[in-house]
Amino acid sequence: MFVIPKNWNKMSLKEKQAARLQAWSSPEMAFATPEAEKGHKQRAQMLIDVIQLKKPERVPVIPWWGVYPAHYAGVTVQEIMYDYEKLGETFRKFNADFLPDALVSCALIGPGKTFEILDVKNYRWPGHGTPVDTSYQCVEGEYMTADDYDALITDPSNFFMRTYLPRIFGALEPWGMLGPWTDILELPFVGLSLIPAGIPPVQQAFQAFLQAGQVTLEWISAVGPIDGASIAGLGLPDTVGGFTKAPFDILGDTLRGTRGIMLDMYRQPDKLIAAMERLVPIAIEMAVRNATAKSNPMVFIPLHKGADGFMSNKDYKKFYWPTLKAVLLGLIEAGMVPYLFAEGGYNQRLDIITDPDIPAGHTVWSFDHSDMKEVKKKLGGWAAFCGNVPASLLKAGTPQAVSDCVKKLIDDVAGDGGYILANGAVLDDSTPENVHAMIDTGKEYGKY
Amino acid sequence: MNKTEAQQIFIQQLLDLEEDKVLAAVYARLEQNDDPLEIIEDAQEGMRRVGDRYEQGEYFLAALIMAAEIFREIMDLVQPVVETQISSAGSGVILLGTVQGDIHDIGKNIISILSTCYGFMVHDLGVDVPPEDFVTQAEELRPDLIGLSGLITASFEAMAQTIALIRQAEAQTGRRTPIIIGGSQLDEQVCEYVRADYWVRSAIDGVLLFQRLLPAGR
Repeated sequence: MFVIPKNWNKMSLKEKQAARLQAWSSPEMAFATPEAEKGHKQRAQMLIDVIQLKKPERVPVIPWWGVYPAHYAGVTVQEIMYDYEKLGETFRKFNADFLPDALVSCALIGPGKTFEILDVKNYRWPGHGTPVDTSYQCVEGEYMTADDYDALITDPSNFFMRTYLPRIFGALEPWGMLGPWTDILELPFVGLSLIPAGIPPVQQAFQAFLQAGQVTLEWISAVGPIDGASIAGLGLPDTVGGFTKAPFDILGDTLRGTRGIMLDMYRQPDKLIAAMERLVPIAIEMAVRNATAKSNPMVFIPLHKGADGFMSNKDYKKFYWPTLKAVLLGLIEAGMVPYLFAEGGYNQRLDIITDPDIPAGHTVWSFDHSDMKEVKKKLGGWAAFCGNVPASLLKAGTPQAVSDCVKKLIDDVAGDGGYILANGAVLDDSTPENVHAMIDTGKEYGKY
Repeated sequence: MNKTEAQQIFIQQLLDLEEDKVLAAVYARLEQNDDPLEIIEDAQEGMRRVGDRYEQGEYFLAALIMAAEIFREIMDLVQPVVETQISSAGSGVILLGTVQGDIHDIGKNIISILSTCYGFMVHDLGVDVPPEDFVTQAEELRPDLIGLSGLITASFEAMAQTIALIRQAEAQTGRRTPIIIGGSQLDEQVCEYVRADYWVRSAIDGVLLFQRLLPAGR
């Protein structure tokens, strides 16, 4: 837990960031060996240098991982969503064998039992709709209808509890019968307000919710020590403190869906914008709360529906960027380091995201299919960046081709720092030889 | 055929995605007993121009989705009036689907909309389509082209399996339908790996390829 200093409100953005990064880089934990402690410090310092646009001792290598660790261990993704012994073996071995510059966390694999108890409708996961050895996938749908905007804008939590969650979690469907918490006012009304909570289906829904909470606690009790062992034993710092999303993606991914939100851009643009503005403080608070609890200021922000091809730059400036920018500024104000993951192409957006209102040295941007020389030209001296080693190359290429690609990237854009070596999309499928080629070439060739 | 000024305005309104005006015009034309097939033709002309704007980089996915929605609404209004379906004679038939194990549909839907804009007849099998379904449908429909979509790298294996199964089935008939794979993570290496004939990363490249392979399509 990061303890906010007394003079916090008088501190500059740089000082706030430095204080949070300092706490993150020297965690209160017993490292297994002095080498592990030294390694942690060294790796954390490289990343701090990169964030602050200084030249680190070498290019840090921090790839994005999907379900590849399961393939590497020869287990299915389904197995490690339920069997935490296997989950631990898989990730401890993966971290030890490849030694990237940041922890490969097992938390993203997720608890299968929780999803089953909740009866998740808007995702399919291994063994539940997708093959046992692949990743989870989103089921596109309008889980928030075109007519739900007023309800969301008026009271997002109420809308989530009584409308959205009952739609996406089969087990919580009866929550639609509950009244809003804000009904509970004067004493005589307390009784009346609690009537729905006694209805048998609602009680069953709460029981399912409690049970889901219990199995989730069992899961996190296993995940914590697994990740902890790699941090303390191998000296790999954890680079994900919190998580949030661009308000456009919050709506476009799992609420309105792609088709829904794109129609809203034409049919009800004002409501869409009002809803996104309503979500800004919520998106900031969620990240700051978790990052503070973990004492880790890096906030992972995957970017989806604003990539090249989804909309014009004019629409990006109108619909996507203003509220994402507000979230970024809110996070930076709190001393956070937004770590953005731009999936797809972002070539058309580079001039927009390099907004002069966002201070230099406070964000990290990862790109997938973007022209990295152009990225360097636009982001150099303003923000740290990474990404671009293609998923197709890591899957179907040779180790030599991977190594050549890494060398070319480093030659082209590593420059005087501010650069992290990473792949473009999360890694689900590859060969050990190719992954070694990426990591080992990056470490060796990336020395400054 | 020369279009009247009213028709030109209608086409332009569809191109500009002015939903209310377009639908009001359809109501008005149906009221005054305009030939419904002519309304459909005009709507198709509007969609072709939407496709052109997309090709030229003036329109993006959002506009395509809106255009497809307006087109659907027009068809909902006009179709009860015309019993006969729109003729697909002369246009190429494309069998399309996202391969097994992958439920991503955005890219597949874009190419489906665009192909319709450009006059192709598309049979969209949806997402997570088993190899056997592609084979059955290919035998039934005898498409001119088969398009396999996939976003995640795990879809590469499913593509390879699907293509192998289609080729195996075709070996008995002597046919050989060109197979195109589409997805943002694809490249030549993947194309060779799964033994497809062509690969595309963007929907517009896909439609341009369809046109090249089936010149009668437009």
